[in-house]
Amino acid sequence: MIKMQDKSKIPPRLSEIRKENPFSTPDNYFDEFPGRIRSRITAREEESKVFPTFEKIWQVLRPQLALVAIIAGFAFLGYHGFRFISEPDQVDVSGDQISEFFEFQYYNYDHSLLLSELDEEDLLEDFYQEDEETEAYIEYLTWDDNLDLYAIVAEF
Amino acid sequence: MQDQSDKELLKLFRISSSRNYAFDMIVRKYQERLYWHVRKIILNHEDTDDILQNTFIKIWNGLDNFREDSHLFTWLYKIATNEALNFLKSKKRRYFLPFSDYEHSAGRELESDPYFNGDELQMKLQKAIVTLPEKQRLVFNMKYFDEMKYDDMSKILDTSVGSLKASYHHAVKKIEKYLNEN
Repeated sequence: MIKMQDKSKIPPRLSEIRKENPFSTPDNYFDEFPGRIRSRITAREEESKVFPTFEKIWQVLRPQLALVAIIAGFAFLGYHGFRFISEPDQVDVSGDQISEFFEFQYYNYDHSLLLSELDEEDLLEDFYQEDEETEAYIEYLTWDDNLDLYAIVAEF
Repeated sequence: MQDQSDKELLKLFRISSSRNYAFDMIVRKYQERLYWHVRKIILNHEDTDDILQNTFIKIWNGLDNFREDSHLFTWLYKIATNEALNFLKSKKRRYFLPFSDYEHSAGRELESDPYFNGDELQMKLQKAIVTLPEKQRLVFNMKYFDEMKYDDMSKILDTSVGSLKASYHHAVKKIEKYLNEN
């Protein structure tokens, strides 16, 4: 009895299990399968004849678009290359024109306009401020004993 | 001989007048092997049927570009394996199933499957196989049931022979453990 119980507890091992395929299929499944595949493929092909997919359209157009792009590229390069060689950018300016330009610029130059511009941008204010500070330093240094001329001479 | 025959079929497929005939021959030649390969991964007949159809549609679309660097059957197995694994991934995503729930639902489905004719121990073995990670499951099925050579498996799964042997060893250990505990 004890032996029986022990035997029933022996775990089933992989080698004890039948190796045969435990699955099955509906009747005639493999006989009918090729026909089902054929009809699915035919249906898809019919569908793609009526509504050509983007992929098919792209496959047809791709080589033609590539050819157009190459021709356009060559035309662009050719046109600009030809222009560069045949018509370099040269400007003919005479000496009189140059002197006329400088004279015009000279007469248009206005000192007061420049100062007012600087004043507007607070640049002169800084300049004056700096000047006031310098004066203050000079005043401090020249006040009685603050300036030791001997020390300055010794330093330099 | 088999290679020669595949080559002949491929040659016929590339001739437009014999294209349909050649494809029909390829389907007839490989449908059962691919079906059982997918069925052992998926377990249920209806889903296996869908996957097998999609696999052959992909084969039809891609056969023109098959360069014969590998055997035809290796290429077909690869497509079928990818289809089956993608199906499993999408099924888990669709039903938000974590792996442990997937094991249980697959086990329950198997119990009520009219196309499962195995005994109790075979049922237990299938439930043990479902608990394995996908890669180990594939390797175990291909080695244990299909008795496929590691070299061929290596080409189909793009994995080294050493890694496949290790996967098979781990799979057997886990299955033994499951059978002992359940």
